[in-house]
This record gives sequence, C-alpha cells and structure tokens, in this order.
Amino acid sequence: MVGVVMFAIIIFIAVFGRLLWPVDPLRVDILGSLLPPSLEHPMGTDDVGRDVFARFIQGAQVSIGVAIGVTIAGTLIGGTLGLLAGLVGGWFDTIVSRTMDAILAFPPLILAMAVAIGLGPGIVSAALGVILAAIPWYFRLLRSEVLRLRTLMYVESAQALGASSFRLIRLHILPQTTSTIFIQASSVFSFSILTLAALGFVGLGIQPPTPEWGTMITEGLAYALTGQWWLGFFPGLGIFMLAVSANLIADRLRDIYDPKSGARLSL
Amino acid sequence: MTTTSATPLLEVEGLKTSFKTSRGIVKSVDDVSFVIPAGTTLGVVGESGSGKSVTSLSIMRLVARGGGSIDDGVIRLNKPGQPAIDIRNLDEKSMRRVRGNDIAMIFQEPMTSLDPVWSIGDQIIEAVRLHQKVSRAEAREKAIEMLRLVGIPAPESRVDDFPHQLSGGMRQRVMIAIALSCRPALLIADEPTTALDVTIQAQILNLIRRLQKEIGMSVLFITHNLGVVAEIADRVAVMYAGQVVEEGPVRAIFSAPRHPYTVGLLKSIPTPGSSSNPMASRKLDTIGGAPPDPVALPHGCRFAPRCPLAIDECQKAPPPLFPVGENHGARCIRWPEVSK
Repeated sequence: MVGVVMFAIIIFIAVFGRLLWPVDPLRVDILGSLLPPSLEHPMGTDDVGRDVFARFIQGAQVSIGVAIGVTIAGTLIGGTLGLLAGLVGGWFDTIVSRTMDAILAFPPLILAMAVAIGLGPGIVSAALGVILAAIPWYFRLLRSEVLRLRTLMYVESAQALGASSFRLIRLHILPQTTSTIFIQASSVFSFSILTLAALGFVGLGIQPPTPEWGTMITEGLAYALTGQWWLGFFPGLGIFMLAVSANLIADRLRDIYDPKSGARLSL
Repeated sequence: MTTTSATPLLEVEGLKTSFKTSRGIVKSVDDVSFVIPAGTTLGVVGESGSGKSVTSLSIMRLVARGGGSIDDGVIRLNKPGQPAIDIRNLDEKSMRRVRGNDIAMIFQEPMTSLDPVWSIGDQIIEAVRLHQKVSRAEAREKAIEMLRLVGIPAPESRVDDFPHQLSGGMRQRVMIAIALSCRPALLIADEPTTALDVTIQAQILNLIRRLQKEIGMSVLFITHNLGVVAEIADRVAVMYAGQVVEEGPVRAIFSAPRHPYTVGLLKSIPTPGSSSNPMASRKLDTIGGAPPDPVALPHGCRFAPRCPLAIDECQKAPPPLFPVGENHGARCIRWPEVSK
C-alpha cells in the first residue's frame, strides 16, 4: 500500500503537475535566486532563480518516461531472447548466453556510461546504455525459467493433448513467468531511475537546461555546503520515493500473481 | 471382454528408440513389437529403465524433446472405418491432431501434471477445444460432464477449482477426465496409480476399467506392479533392458511364465503375511544384481548375467522371441525348462 501511494503521488505530480503549477521551469529570475521554500516557491528557487518545483515536475516526467521506455524495451528484448534461448537451445543458446555473459562482465553503471560516452552525452544514448545493461538480467531469468518449466509434467501433458509449441509457450510457460517478469521489471525500473540520475549527475545524461533529477542534484551540490539544501534535496527525494515504491509494488505484484493467493485469470 | 477384430487398433513393429547422451547412445527401446486389439488392455511391466515409458512416448512421438529419436520400426494406428495412420511418418501438424484426440495419455505424477495457474475446468476446456469446434460454454458443459463421469462430487462448483485445491486422487481423476474428454481410441496410462495410496489406486483402476467399457477404447497400461496388471490387463508384455522378453495373455503369463525374468518378477510379489508371519516358509524372493548398463548391453541375452538358468549358450547370441504357446512368446532359449 505504502508503495502504491508513494508511486501514485510521483505519477500524479508528473502527469498533472504542469496543470496545477503552470510555472515555466526554464524562466530565469536573477533577483529571486536561491530563495528558500515558501508558498510562492514550494521547493525554493535555484541559483538563477528558476522555480525548483516546476523543474522537479519536469524532471519527474523525464525520469519516469525514460525509465518506462527502458523497462519495456529491456523486457521485450531480454525476455524474448531468453525465451528463445531456453526453447531453441543448441548453438543459438550458446551464442546468446556467452554474449550476455560478456555484457554482464561490465558493472552496469560503467557499461551505461561507456555507451553514453561512445554515442555522445544525451538522453537517447543514456537510455540505450541502461537498456543494454538491463537486457542480460531479463535474459538469464527468462532462460532459466523456461528451462525449468519445459521439463514440468503439465507442459508435457499439454503437448500430449496435441497443443502446439506456440500454445505451450502462451498458455503454459509465459503465465508462469509473469511474476518473475514483473519483479524483474520493477527492479529494472528503479535501477534505470538511479542510473539515469547517476549519468545526469556526472554530466552524461540529459543535457542542461532540460531539468533532470540527477543533473539537478549536481547543480545543487555546490550549494549544499552553503546552506541552500533545497536545490539537491527535492530531486533526491523524488529518486528515493520512485525507486523504493517500485520495489514495494513488485512485492505486492508477486503476491497477486501467485496462483495460491486466489487471484483469478481466465483461459 | 476381449473383442478380436481383423486388424488390431495399434500395431507396433520393430520399434527402436535411442537417446544421445554424453556417455554414448542409449538404446532405450530396441526392437519392440506388440499389437493392441480394439477394446482390450495391454499391460506393460518391467523395472525402471526397461523402456516402458519411452515406448509410450514413442507412440505419442514425444521423445525428441528429451533428446531421443525413433530410429526404426512401424507404429500404425487403425481406427475402424478409416485408413491406417502411420504415426512415424506423420507431419507435426497431423500428429498434433492425433495427440489427445485419437491417443490420449495420463502420466504418473498427478501432482505436477496439471498446470497450477489454470482452473481444472479451463484445462479440460482447453483439451476439448483443441480438437473440437465447440463454443466455450459448450466446452464448459462438457467439462462438467466429464468431471461427473470420473466421479468428482459437485462438478458444477468443482470445475472452477485450481489444482492445489484437490487431493492427489482427485487430480488423477481430473487427468483422466482431460484424457478422455475427446473420447480417444487409445488411452496410454503411464503408471497412473504409482503416486497414489492403495485405496485410491483401486478406485482409479475401477474407474479406468468402467470408462473403457463405456467408451470402448483400448488401453496401454504401463506399470511395475504385477498385481495391477493381473487386475486390469488382457495381455501382458514384460520388458527388460529395452526389449519385450515375454508377451502373452494375462492368464498364461501368470500361470505358465516362460521367461526367467517373468518368473523372478512373479516371485518377488509379497503375499499377505509373508514378512510378519513367523511360520512363513520362505523369505521374499528378489532378482539378484542390477539391470545392465544401457550403453554397454550384454552381447547375448540381456538378462543372462542375472539369470539363474544362464548357460554359456546364452552369452553367444541374442535370443529371438520363441513362440511358446497360443499368442504367447518368450525371448529365452531355455524356455521349455522355465517354470514357476
């Protein structure tokens, strides 16, 4: 529940924030710079007088949007490869598995950084870097799930009833992997939020002046020691809430998708 | 009970199935032949690894997934009034139509043979709709009817239960309901009672026998329990190390076995009181030794290393299947001397 509420708050801010708080996140007001949080500026203003709350809202949109894209792309690419490797086996399995091992040899953040540097700093290359780092996790999970599931008797007995391979995957293998996929997806979601922020923090993510939480923390860092804490604190809070709530939701989803907990699906 | 027609429902001739393993090629089934006339039951007995299950999976053509291949032989299904189906040379799509529809199978593990994410009704509906063009509602009606047929109480409400809500015996009944939902001509039952306790075993056997009469199907019944075979089978095939070593009518196999291995199996059936009665005259017999290594089978008779009647002659050449009686064969050169 806590996770859902936290997640809902952030999503609400990202989706409706601009309507409720129609302040331009890029409007500079030198005279009103570095103001502490007040009714006029709920999260204060930054060093050039931009409203931090407006920037927070747009940062939420960017982070969530990119994280969703990364999660979906990672699930589809990594999941499909894992499914195929588990089912087809043979040389295909060997080649893809070894490639994934090679990718996994790099620490994920370093890999994402390498891609972002190689393709030039920016939102697309940062997202591609995170997707590449996420694919092997899906691949390995799905592959081992398929290898386990295909040996189960009920898959064999469905085959003995005349079900086609496609049908076996769709009805008897994929439904069993939903909880794995969801749990993995939510952890990849929080991983990509954190990694994108980290890339932004070191200047490899979204480029200024577009507000992004990681970049905002970097900008705020300089003022943390002089007492203007609100510059870095609120984007940091956003990252924390999003990452924690995604993990809490994953746990809840696992309960719902457990066939023994009484939730219904229909064939 | 035995109805003899001109062509038997299933003919298996010279079936050879092997598996490639890291240690070499394992000939799990090596030159197996038998026939099952329509409406009758063939019991296949043998110890673990004798090729019973691989034989049945070969008939369903489901050995490829385990790394096996059917190397030789003929598997022919003759449905009355229809052209014979050559199962070995069928394309995959037609084979899928045979599976479940003409030949259905129940496995030995009722606890794992049902998919835990679908209700039992959904799983029967799936089986029905794979082979028959009926609406979901009709298939559901059919599912309830099948559950009633196999003796599940209150099938209207049970149909929405999930496998984990049922006991082992109930699950096996559901498996039978699924297998019989398309009224197959042949039911392959691979040790269907092994995982169940004895009272439930008897119920399941009675159920299979009753349904066999009602539907008129043939049954290939695989088991390592000779008591079960005596109860349910018309004919018996005894398998050892991938071969049928003796085949014949159930009465002849039990009263006048002609292969030392069959004799050994019969002697190792415990009788009531045989272990606890201090007056019991004999200890329970066992067959000494272990089955041969499947990648290094003996050159001659495969049972010779464990056989009490073995002579030098037995090691020289693999014995053929000798006709030893009416519809009764045994793979033993000393068969006239074998007795119970």
